[in-house]
Amino acid sequence: MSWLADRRSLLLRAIIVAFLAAQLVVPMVGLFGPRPARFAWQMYSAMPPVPQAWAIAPDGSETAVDLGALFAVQRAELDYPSILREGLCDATGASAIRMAVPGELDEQTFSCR
Amino acid sequence: MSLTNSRPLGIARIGATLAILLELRNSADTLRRLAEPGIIQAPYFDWAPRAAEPLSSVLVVLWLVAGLAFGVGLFTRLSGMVLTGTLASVLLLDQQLYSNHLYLMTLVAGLLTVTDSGAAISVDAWRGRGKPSVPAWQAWLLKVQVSIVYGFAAIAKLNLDFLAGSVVASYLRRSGPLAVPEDWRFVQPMMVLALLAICMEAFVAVALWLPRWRPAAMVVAIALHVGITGWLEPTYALGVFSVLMLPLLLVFLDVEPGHHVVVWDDGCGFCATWVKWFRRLDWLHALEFVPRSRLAASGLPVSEDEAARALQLVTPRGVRAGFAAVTRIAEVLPVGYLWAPLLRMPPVAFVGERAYRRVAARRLCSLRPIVASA
Repeated sequence: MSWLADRRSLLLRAIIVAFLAAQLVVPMVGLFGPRPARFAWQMYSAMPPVPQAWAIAPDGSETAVDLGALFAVQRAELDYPSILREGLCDATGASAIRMAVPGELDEQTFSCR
Repeated sequence: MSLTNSRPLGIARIGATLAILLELRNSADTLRRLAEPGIIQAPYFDWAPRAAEPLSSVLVVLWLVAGLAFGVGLFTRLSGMVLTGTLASVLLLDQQLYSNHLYLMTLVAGLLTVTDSGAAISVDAWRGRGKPSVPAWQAWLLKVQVSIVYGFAAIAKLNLDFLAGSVVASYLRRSGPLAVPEDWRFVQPMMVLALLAICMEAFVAVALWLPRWRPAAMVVAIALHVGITGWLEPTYALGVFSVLMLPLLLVFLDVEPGHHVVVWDDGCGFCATWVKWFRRLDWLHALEFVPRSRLAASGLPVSEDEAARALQLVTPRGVRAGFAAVTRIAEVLPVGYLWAPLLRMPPVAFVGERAYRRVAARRLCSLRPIVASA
């Protein structure tokens, strides 16, 4: 049965090496992207601005959206633009959404289909 | 295969589980909010189930039951697997459920499940499945995990936003007795705090591995956690993070059987009281006790006269006596490993040594040689 013990030992070592490699590689990759990144131990390392959004009605009128009421929790790691692009149309029933990130000149407007 | 004391892993399991159970309040609240109408959900995968009832309640119940069983060490492997799976499910259910603390808890629960963390201080051990020692790689894995967290936390803060102090200023407490006034949140002190945080985290990540610097790393770690829990927000989450991390530092202690032999004067009631408390608090079974009456048979490099004058601690690195011995003993006790290194600092050590000699000289003991009992 020693071959079985050897295989188990080898498997265990492989799992440990893979785990450690992931624990080193993922946070290292996270260092090259915007902070704070998830799974990279970047707690309290940065404070990205939360975007502001406006729901545009079919008649063209705009209403500011209270993001605090739309999220269960507002965390710095959230990719707000992409989440809002996906969920804001359904949540507000608007025909289009305008979004601006404080400190950035470009605004984004996307239509709801 | 080299072995190590199993008890630090047992206490790490209990500490980590306590933090995991405390975290349940936060995650259950987020799960409840996610299920409310009008809340945007942000799943990682389109095919994943949405955070809604009855799934949320099932996860909360599994978290609680598996957490309690894992904490007391009942069917440790099984309860650990269920707990790890539950934590991972909650973590990956929605982007809003992510927190570094929950991610770390998932990893730590997984590591404590893979390792024999139920081999000591557990119901499983009480039922006869305990082991005094476990393979050393098991403790090593947890050590690496701890260092990775502190190390990358320090490296990630090396960016202009953080170094400028704006991040620290925005997270500093704004209410309560420890609130930091707005007037103090200007650039220079915030930059100092930012640099201090980076240096402390980096120091802990590295120094824990160096026996000479480890006691200092323990003190810096407790200072760091008291600092962030006391003066940063959110308090509850940071308190839970501290409850998770600090017991894990126990695995760095040198608590191998036979490495710390306490030689004490059994002709002295005062000394016996101290030794009784050391025995009670020695949850890691790091200490061995040799009374003066049995010193001759022990072969230890301590004379009867020395043992009569002061408590002696024999370690692989030499013999310590009096207050220095008490300090080192406190450093391997779970109630003292974080603060006891402070007793080595110059004014404290000097005063402590003087006080120890004074008390030792006045205690009511027989200083006559004790005849070894047969």
